[in-house]
Order: sequence, then C-alpha cells, then structure tokens
Amino acid sequence: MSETKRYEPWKDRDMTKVRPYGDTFDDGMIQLSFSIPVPPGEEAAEAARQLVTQMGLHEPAVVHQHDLGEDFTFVVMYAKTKAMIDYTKIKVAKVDSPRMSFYEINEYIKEQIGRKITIIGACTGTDAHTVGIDAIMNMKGYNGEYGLERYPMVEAYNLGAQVENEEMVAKAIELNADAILVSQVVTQKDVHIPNLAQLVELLEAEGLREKLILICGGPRLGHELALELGYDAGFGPGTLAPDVASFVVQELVKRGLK
Amino acid sequence: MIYRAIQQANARRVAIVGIAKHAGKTTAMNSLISDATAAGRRLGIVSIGVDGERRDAIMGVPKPDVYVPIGALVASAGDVLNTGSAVLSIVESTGYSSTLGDVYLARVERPGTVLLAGVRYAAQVHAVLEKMERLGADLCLVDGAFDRMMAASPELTHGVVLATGAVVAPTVEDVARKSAFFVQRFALPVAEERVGHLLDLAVARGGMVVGCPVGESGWDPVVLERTSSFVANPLTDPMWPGADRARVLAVAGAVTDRLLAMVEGLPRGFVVVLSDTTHFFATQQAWRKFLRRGHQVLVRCPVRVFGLTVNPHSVAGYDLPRHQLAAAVQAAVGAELLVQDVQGEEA
Repeated sequence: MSETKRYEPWKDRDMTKVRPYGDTFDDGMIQLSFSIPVPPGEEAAEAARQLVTQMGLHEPAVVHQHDLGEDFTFVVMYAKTKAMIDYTKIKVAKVDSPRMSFYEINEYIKEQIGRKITIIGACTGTDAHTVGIDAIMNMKGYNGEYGLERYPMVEAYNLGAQVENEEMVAKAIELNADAILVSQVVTQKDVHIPNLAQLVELLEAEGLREKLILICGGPRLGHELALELGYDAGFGPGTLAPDVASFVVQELVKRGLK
Repeated sequence: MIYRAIQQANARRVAIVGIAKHAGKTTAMNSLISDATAAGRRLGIVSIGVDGERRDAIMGVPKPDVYVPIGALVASAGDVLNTGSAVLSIVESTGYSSTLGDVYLARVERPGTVLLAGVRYAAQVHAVLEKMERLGADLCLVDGAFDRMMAASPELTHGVVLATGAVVAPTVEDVARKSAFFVQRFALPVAEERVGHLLDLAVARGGMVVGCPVGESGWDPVVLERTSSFVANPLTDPMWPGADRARVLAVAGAVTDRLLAMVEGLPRGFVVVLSDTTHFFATQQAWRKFLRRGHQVLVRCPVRVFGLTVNPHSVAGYDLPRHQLAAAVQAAVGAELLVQDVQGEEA
C-alpha cells in the first residue's frame, strides 16, 4: 500500500519569500478592520473594497459591517497581498544580553558591581501617563514581576509625571544615578521626539551622558528609534522590570561603570 | 560651494547638523562626500543615530542612502554592516556595543551604500574619530541625529555644515525665520581671553566659576561649591561673592532658561560665559529678555559654520518654491553665510 504524501508546504518553506497565511499556505490573505465615515450599506462595502484595492491589495471581500450610528460604519474584510518579505535579510535592533530573574539580577549586582545601583524614572515633558513607568518601577510591579522599588540592590526613584528634562538632569546629578528611564506614552504629533532628544543634549552638555545608561520606553518606542536618538535602549510594549534591569546591570558592567 | 570653504579652513573634522529631522542632513553629507572624493580626500564617516538604507523609525518614510567611495572608513554596528551595496572589510572593533551589535570600523572595498548605526554619544564619537585619523582618514564627517547639536562641539569637530529645509515650516517666510534663529546660536560672541580663562577654570573643576573684577582688567575667580545650575541657584551658593562684586558667571555645563532667569535680576552688564553653543539651551524668548536687561551670553570657543544647505522638499508631502526659499533663507541669515540648495545643484 502506497502511503499518500501529506500536503505540508510549510515544512520546506522558503524564508526568503514570506507572505501572510490566511486559509491556505502562502495565500497572502490579510484581515483588515476599520471605521469609515459613511452610512452602512452596499455603498459602504464598495467604498471599503475600493480603498483596499488602492492600497495595492487584491480580491477584497467585506465579511462584516456594523452601523456605528451618526452615518459611520465599521467594516471587517479580507484581501490578499502579492508582497513578500525576505526574512533572512531582516535585522532589528534588540537587546542581546540575557534576561535574568529578580534574584539573579540582585545577585549579579552584588557580585559584579558590589554596591547598590541607582535608577531614576519618570514621564517627561507634557506626558502625564505613568502607567508604563509605574509598571517598571512600582513595588507591586506588573504581570507577576516585582517593580524596581522591590529590588534590594536597586535604589529606585519614580519621579512621576510631567517631569521637565532639567528636573530629570538635576535628579541624576543629585542622586548620582547609574541609569535614567524615560517613559513617553502620549506621543501625539511626535512631541516625544524633541523632548527625548533634548534630554540627551542636556546630559551631554552637563558631561553626564557617558557616565550613565539612558533608556526610553513607551508604546511607540523601540530600540531602533532609541539608537537614532542617542539612547542605549528603547523598550516597547510588554516590557517588565527584569527586562530593563537585566539590560541596565549588564550594560553597566560592559561599559565599566561600576 | 561648501566643500571649498571646508578645504580653505583646513578643517579635518566636520559635523553636519540639521535644524530639524529630515531637513536634509544626509543629502548634504552625500554632496560633501562626493566633492571630497573628487578632491582625493581620504574620508572617515560616522553617524550619531541611524543613517542610510532604512526607513525612518517614526514615519516609515524612506531615508536617503549614504554613498561611500572606495577607501573610506566607516563606523557601524555588526548586524547592519552588510546591509548596504558597498563591500566593507572590518579593520578593527571600537569596543562599543549597541542594540544592533558591536560597533566596528570598516574600510570600503567596493563603493556603494552603507547603513551607519550604533555610535550614540560624544565620548564614543571622539574615540572613533581618533581611530579613523590614526588609520589615515584626513577628512572626517560626523552626521548628527534629529536636531541634536552635539556633533558641532569644538571638542569633537572643527566646524559645522547646517541643514534646513521645508520640513521646518510650511511657508518660505517661516522656514527663513526659524533658520535665522538657529544660525544665530552659532554666532554667539566670543569671550575675551581673560574672561575665557574663567570658563577654563570652570571646565577644569567641572562646575561654575564667578568672576569678580580686580584692578584694571583682571578677574578674581570664585569657584562655587555647587557644580551645576541644575541643582542649585548660583546666587544662593555659599561661595557667591554678592551681586555687587560678581560680574561674570562661567558655566561648564548647560545654560538653560532657568539659569538665565536666576541671574537676570543682577545689575546690568552681567555676563554668562559657556563653552560653546552646544551648551546653550535657552529659548529665543528667554535669551532676548536676558539681552534686553543689558546682559550678555558669550562663548569660549566659536563654532565655525561652513555653510547652510536648503532642502525645498518636506517629507510631510509638500515642496516650497526652490529659488524663493534659498533666497529668503539667504536674506534671513545674512550674506556672509554660504547658502546652498544641495539638491538643486545636483539636478
């Protein structure tokens, strides 16, 4: 009896030509959902299809629409893309140093640095949304991980919201900080960019930049943007205290800032 | 032509600083690279930030490529060293790491595009430039990031090429006005030698020094206890000699609106002296107010401006009239400054 060969194209997939998987392998199918300011109906569906075609997608199909009232419609649809990505050529900025646990980090500080380290954090500029910095700094932490205030070998200072860059630099001098964490959550019109850039410039002018680890974080920040701004790292959504602390302590040792 | 100005000044290290992101720094640098290559210079190229070959990290718009000639030295991170079309060979490690891998010095074996990334702060730039010069580079270009001025510091480079453009404002008049203010910062008057010595002392002590006049033209330096205006008002410092004696405040660090406000109530003619314009953070309003009170802001080291490039295209999706823009910017910054439409020249 001959064995029928199972159809498993993903087994020898070509990583240089990667497309989304919808119903079948390599079909390029994408789900989209959005609201458009037109009343629901056939015209709304056609408007959505035309819009998606203009984006370069093909075979657009509206599978659901919902009346939002006030002549607005929410649309869910599928469409296909012919675009593909060479996964083997992708290089992203990321933290290579291993992530350690709460206990490992404190132990590492004791052994490798031999003193408590000081980390200050704040939401700077006009930003009053402390949810990010609190998740990293607060005693109770977030998602099962203690915040930096709980770390016996870390002196953590959460300066809160709407902290001016000058205030941040003043605290860094006063407390002789080893690391600065800047959180930027609300970033309309990219206000976070000049604000983050100014902090680096102030630190350079005060002669502090090379003496500390400078980190930014927030939903619209990443390591690449951080690098571009002159920060050592930029942590995005989902970051927890050990991610940040592991990077800080290993970077301190690597740069000889003990 | 801006390159000629650099050559005439015998500058070996030049910074490229933009008045805003996407003002045309990379285009300006490419123009300098091409002129310098034609003149047979051995180039060293370093970027503070991320340059070339990739999409902008915020807007997702494509950024211009950086083209490098054969024999040039570049500094970049290991993960992206092979991203461009240029063929590079690693010469040595810089000893710095980044989130894109360890940073290397590499020589261009076959010309093409490169991605420059990984160098982040002044101390690293300084070390990289020294290595490049040791390896034979006789003209080093330092591309700044966003509107960061740090690359222009006289401790790093011998002068600067500024880049402005339509991205700064949607009208010709506003671009000209904002560019003029930016250029003004590079024209801060230079302190005379004896006042400059007060700043040298402040830098040596890493703090602030007050100058009190003695005799005809001498200065009695008083070193303040607090090292930075960020943590204390100089006027409340235990060593503050009093408003009647103090005539100069030399600041090793940054001069901000807050510092100007602290000393602006002193008798007319007070002088704040700082290292150079990269330490000057005052806003236009605070600076003007300070000057109106009869005070002065002086620098120890001037930053030489070789020229200003103008880019009529904005990434926001509009273009300003090319000739009108260049003319308006030239009129606003004054005739002595070389203004060049780099793209227009290439076209």
